[in-house]
Amino acid sequence: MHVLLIEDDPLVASGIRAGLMTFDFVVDHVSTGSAARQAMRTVASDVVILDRGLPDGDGLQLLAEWREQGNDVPVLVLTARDAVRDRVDGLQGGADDYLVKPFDLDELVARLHALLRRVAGRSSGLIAHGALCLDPTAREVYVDEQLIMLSRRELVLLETFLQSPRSVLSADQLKDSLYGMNDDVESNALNVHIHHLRRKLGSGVIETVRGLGYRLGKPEAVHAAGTPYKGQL
Amino acid sequence: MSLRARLLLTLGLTLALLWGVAAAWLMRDLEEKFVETLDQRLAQSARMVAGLVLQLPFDVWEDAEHPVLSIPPIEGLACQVHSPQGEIMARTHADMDAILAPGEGGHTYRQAGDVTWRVFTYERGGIVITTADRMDERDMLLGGVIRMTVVPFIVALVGSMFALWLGVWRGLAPLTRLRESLANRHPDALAPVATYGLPKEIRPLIETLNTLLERVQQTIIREQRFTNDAAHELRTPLTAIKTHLQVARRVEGQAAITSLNYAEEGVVRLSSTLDQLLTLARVEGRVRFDDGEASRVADVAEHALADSQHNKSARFVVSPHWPDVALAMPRELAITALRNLLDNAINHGPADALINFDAQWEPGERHLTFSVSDQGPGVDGATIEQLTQRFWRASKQQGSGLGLAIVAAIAERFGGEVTFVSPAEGGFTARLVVPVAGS
Repeated sequence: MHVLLIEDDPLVASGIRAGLMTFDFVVDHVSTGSAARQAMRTVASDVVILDRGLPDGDGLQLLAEWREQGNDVPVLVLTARDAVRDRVDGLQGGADDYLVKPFDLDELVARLHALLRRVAGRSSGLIAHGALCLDPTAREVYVDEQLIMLSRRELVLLETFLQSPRSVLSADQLKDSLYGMNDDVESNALNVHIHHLRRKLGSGVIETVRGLGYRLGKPEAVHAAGTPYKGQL
Repeated sequence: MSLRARLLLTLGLTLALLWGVAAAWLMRDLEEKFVETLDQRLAQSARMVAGLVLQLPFDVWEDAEHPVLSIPPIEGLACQVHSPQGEIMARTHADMDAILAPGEGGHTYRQAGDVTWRVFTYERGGIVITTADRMDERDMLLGGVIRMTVVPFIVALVGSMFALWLGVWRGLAPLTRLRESLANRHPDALAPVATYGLPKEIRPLIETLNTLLERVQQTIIREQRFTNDAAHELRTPLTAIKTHLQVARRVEGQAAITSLNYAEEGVVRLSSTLDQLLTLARVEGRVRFDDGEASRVADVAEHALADSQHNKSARFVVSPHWPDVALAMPRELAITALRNLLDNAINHGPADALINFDAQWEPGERHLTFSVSDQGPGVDGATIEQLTQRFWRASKQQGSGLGLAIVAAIAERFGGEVTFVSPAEGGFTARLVVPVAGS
């Protein structure tokens, strides 16, 4: 999952970034409103963490702009001000959730997952698809209640497909979910990850849509590839 | 006592008293005049009778069929004519010999049974004429006159009392409305009170009140902003610390050490912000800083330099001869103020450029001026105004935003001031004016 972190304090930002990365989020960090606008245009983020006090204006201003443009990416607003007025302003300004500093890393992660879940229209924390079941918080995947070992990138990729079960996702969109703006990406890396997923979960788990990208396969196409996979990750 | 009750009481009592005195005065005059008028009537009647009697030839009386003439009585008035020999020549009432007997000339009162008479005796050419009035009739007449006078008086008095009550009630109605609108206000509402429809006597009062409300509101806004800013400044490093500690628990090896280092950096920042906040609170509060030591300029400057330099490699051009004088302020605060100015110059000037640190004072002057100049980019005019605001700072990476606010608070506390100069061509000079000890 790709997170755009907009936070002007470098120390806080490095903490959130490191913390989210331990939960397999891909984090891009910007520290000003203008950089955030730029990032929003170039990267498809699944969720945005927005600090209110930015050096070039209030974060809510940015949020209002996006909402006006019809951008409905889920936004979690972070703030050090806890007056009720501030919270109400934030939520009325189009924020999907609100977290007051200092917060618990686990809580931040839980709320991000809840936001992603809400966007995908699910009520349970677990994402099920036929025999397949993914626990976003525990970072585990089961097929028929059998644990399947996936690498970090594979899991993120599968999660991206499961978040949008009926959409065709372009290669660029998928790369944005997997890598930050500054990561070096080999050109065939995405193909490799998709190949691995098909090997572990059945070849029909991800369908190729020619000229457009990829799509999650039919629920019945998922099956564990024989015994639990024990090869190298 | 309410204003309305006081007005009603004062005006009502005064009015009643004045009307009462006027009525009493009128009554007394009326009575005197009444008695005088009736007495005159009595005397005139006697003179008229005397005139008539004397014009008749004397033998008329001798030839009369009856020795005593009986004149038909006039209502309320009795008259009797006596000859020089003392015989009754003519009379109106046969039964009033005693009352109308001739006496000394002039007016007298005479009693017959339970009736009092007013009698007038008049003598002319030997003939004595007495005339008399019934006093009870006089009193009845007077009573009638008084009743006719008193009724309009009472009506006027009641009317003016009512007018008074109405006037006071209506006159004070704006005050009542004002009181009610103030009483119905939400305790937090600090919006100005409407002056529309208020009489011009109360308007200045309300305008003063509105000015006060505005000042209170501004103070509250300023304090709220300060609290908000303080919360932000304290929570941000706290967030960094907490997040990095949680990361450190989840990762291993070098990553954990890095996170712990970050957390420590957050702790340093938090504690420095806390120190600055406490210093500011103490300077702005009533805490005493005197430690009994004189704050000699050279000593204060030396300490400020030592405190500011120890973690940065900055180069200073320091005054070769500090004025040999003591400052009229605690040593600790003088050092703090100067150190903050020096830190500011170190943080904003170029790394290797020189910083000038000097003091100007002429013997006899009551104030001394420290100046700290750096060769940094300086700030524009609008920014200079903001420099001493609490939590204002050039960027997030630099300090807590309280350093210059503390300098300004210290200067203010001891009647000095801090000013900044930043020429367009660059560079920045801070001047701190502080009082010099008297002796």
